[in-house]
Amino acid sequence: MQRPAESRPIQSPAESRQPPAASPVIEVRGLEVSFPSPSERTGERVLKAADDVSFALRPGEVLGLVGESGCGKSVTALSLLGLVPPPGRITGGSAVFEGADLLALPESTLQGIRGARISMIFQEPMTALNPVFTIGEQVAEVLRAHRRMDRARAWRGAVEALARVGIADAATRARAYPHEISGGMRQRAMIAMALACGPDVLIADEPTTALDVIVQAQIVDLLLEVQSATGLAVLFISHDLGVISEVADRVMVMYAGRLVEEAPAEALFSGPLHPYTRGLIDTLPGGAPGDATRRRLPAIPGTVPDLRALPQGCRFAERCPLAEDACRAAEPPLQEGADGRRVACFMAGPSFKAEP
Amino acid sequence: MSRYLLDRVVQSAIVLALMSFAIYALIGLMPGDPIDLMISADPKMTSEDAARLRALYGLDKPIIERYGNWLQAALGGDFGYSRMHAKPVLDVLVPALGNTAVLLGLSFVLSIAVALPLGVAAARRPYSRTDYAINLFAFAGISVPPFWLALLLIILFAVILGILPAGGVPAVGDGGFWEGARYLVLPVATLTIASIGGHTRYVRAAMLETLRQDYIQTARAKGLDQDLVVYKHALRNALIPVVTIVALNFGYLFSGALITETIFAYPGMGKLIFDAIMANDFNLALIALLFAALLTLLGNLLADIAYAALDPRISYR
Repeated sequence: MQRPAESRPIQSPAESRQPPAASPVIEVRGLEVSFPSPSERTGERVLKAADDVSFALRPGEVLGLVGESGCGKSVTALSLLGLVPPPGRITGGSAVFEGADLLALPESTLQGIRGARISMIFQEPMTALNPVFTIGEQVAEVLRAHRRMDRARAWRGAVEALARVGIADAATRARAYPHEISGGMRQRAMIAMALACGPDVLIADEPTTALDVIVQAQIVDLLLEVQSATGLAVLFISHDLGVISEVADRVMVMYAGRLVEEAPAEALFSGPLHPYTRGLIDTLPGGAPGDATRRRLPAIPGTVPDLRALPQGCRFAERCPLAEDACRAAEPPLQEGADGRRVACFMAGPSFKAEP
Repeated sequence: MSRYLLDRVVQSAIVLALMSFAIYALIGLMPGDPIDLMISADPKMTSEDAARLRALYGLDKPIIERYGNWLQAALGGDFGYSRMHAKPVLDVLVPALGNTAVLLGLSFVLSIAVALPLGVAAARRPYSRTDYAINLFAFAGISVPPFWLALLLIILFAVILGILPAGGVPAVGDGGFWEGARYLVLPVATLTIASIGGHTRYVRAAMLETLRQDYIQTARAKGLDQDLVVYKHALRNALIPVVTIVALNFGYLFSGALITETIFAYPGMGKLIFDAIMANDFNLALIALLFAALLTLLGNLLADIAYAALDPRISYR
């Protein structure tokens, strides 16, 4: 990676809600996930779905990860559990969890961590649950695998886990198949499954995207409730900045496989440093219905670049209103300012802050 | 469920009735009748004798009327007399049915027992060497005609090596269980090899599709053992389409048995039907073919029941 000759200092935002620095639960450094991309003219080429991704997930926080579809959010999350779908491969970096590098652990050790210490819930609870097993069985199975419980105890544990996520009459509902319950209930069952073993980390990959707005709010509330009750760390992935603003303590913004900005949630929403983040925030509908400030929602022009043919320099330059020659010449590194915020933009200095 | 079963049984009965007429009509359309055989066997028979015999057996009446008479008798439990065997039809049919059940049952179970792990292994590592090897084997199995395979097996094991009988069954009272088993090896092997390839391909395709599903990723994210993910979460779902195809293929298996039994002179339904048709033994051919139809219908019914057992989303009310 090319570094610019000189990088501008990052202006500290007005306020910053930095939590006291505890040692992170998971510390990711330089994560790189590659997919082979066959092309008939150039032969085998490799695209990097996640490129030099580094971040720390601290205990008890909700860390938001936001970005457009295909920017590498899910692949980043899946790589932490060793679940990158083939032919994708982790080609670099480390992810330290309790002193061990998750990316280098053998499959058998990872199996003991998945679902027990680090759990994951997915976007579409209809397809993420196995249609031929009852939800009780699917929760109980986790307890049997990790806690070595016998069938009867695991079933009781499953019913308790379902009750804890607000499923009424859990003993009866546990015998229901996924198609017999509502979407919100299914996502609750997914959450019960993920939390059954009391994990330290929950990765929530677009957990509300497939749900209608009211159920979405209920699931968000449930996750926040569980999080504050158990103090687990949550990596909350969404393309929906609105949901992220409700749940996250800190937010990371990803673009075309790279992190472009990271900041405490309030600071990010009140003073985004990266023009892409700013663009995303501008696309949020603001104001109540009938509010005079309502306007036609802007869009960020252009599309995400093809990961197989990335431009030289900044990946966002083509769509960026502030791009200069320097941006097209070299890729801006993700740099940490004095306030702990990180941003990857040459323009994120005083000149950018001056923009309205 | 019981209501559904009743409906299906009634449907099957209707199909069977239609089949009986179709088979009756087709046999009636075949050139030659039993009287022609008598003529060719007995040069002294005159055409007046033949006409008299035709009238006696009712063969001069229109086919609809003959079918009506036959149906009436059959519904009363009288399936007629096998001319070839000089016994009531059922007395000939039941032992043959038993023999075929043993042959088909064994080769079916063996074929599935081999095809399931092979198909799963191929799907777990698609486009790997293992997968290519299994596919090669499967396509070879599909491509080899059973009659040719049967002949090769006979040449190898009965002629060259001389360790297995070339066909038939042990003579009455000759040898015990193991002697009988020796006679089964080659026909069972032929039918098994002929169906393994197809079954393996079905299992592989269904598993490939299933392993792509989100719930497989969920199962892995739960920290389940790989084998548990594959054999519990994936296989259970993959079996649903496999059961359909395999059950619908039951009819093919039956017709495969016809050729195999004929080659190995194995006294089963296939050989019985073949011989009965060649000898113009109408009563026997008719009932034997109807039994084949009945077994196919039964296979379909079993498939539907297995469906409901495998997939909770399907319920019959």
